[in-house]
Amino acid sequence: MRVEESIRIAAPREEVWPFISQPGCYSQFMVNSTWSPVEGEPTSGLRARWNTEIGVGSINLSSLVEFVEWDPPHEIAWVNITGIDQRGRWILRDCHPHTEATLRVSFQAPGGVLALVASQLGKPLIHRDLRRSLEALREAVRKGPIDDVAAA
Amino acid sequence: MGLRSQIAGSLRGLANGSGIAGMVTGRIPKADLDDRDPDYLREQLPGLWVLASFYFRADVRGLDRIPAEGPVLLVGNHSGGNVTPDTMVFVLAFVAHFGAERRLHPLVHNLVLALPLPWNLRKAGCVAASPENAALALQRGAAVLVYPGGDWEVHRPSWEETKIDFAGRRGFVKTALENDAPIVPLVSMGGQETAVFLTRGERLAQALRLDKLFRLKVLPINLSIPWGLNVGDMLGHWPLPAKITIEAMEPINLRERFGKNPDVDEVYEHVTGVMQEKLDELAAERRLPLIG
Repeated sequence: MRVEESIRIAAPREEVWPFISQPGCYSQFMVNSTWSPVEGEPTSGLRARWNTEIGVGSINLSSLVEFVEWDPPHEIAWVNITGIDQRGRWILRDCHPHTEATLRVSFQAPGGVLALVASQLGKPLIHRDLRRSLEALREAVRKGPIDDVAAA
Repeated sequence: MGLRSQIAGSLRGLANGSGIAGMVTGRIPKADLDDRDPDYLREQLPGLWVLASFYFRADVRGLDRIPAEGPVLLVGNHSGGNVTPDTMVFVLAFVAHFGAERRLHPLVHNLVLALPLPWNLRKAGCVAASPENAALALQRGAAVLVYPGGDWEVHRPSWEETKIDFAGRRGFVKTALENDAPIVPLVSMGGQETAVFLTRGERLAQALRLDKLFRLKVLPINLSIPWGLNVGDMLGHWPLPAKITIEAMEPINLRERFGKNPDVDEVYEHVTGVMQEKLDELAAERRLPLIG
């Protein structure tokens, strides 16, 4: 199951990239998710690893994820190592003078018909959170550079 | 042993009651820790998630207080009759939080393991409730979920919903001490609203000698779907969609808190005391029955 949302941000791609290339800041604008560093693992770039917790419905799904694509200032992608099967991707496309930011999450729930039902029921919740996350990202970019956001 | 002597033995047992107990418990399959199947658990998550999120609107808090590694004894209050939605919700939340890799073994009544349920409890990690099984699981670094109140607490009348009632059962304290495992109190609210629980029927159970026959101290009576007046709750019931709230509290390291040789009664009083305070808090948050 794939869920995707996009938004146009009134800033060049180079100004948006610092936000999505620091997973430590994701908790500030990615709704219903927390990201925490893994001891002894890189926190940035290819092979960076983070512990994530994503709230879907009543439950928080925890995973250890690894960044498997890191292409500045275009795209970032991660996959899970433990926890529910998922892939996530940030995509930045240049629409001079704006940037189109896309957040895509693909996930797979095991377990037959009930898994299908759960995926369908969960889809609108994830859609809503992706939409809110992108709006929060746009607001964070509007407020200023990443350092200011981190200090806030 | 020939058939005739078996029948004769059974008839002798019938005369004193203990024989039936032996026959029944002998037929109940013993759970094995290795029956737990992480892949089965993963496959159950979506269905449980639908139930927890949309039917029970579950709110599970404080999972980060549970140690991520090593043995821990999760001590919960038990609600909901033989259906126990709080257990199901907690197992889901635990597996979603820690991953199916972290061992969780709920201790359940022998008879529950033998019931024809839609879920394979043993694959989900459930083991027969006994100090030996608990010790085995803790020695393997697992989280063990125990409901000391058991059948006594789970069938308490609905108007006693906000009461922690372990009936003085202190075995969990000894288990935690013997295995040097911290206790994490687990308090839940809402399960006792999934039916109208009228009475435990303990006198009826005593009169029918159910304790001797099946290790049952109660013969509960409730009003529930689809039975209406439901005596025994042996076939379970369809739970009403009550909001379930569960909170894991701070771990209690018994020897750090109570010294090298903790007094079992003191620990029991402390654990039930903090759980009662938390249950009162959760009850105060609740505005309406069922709705939450």
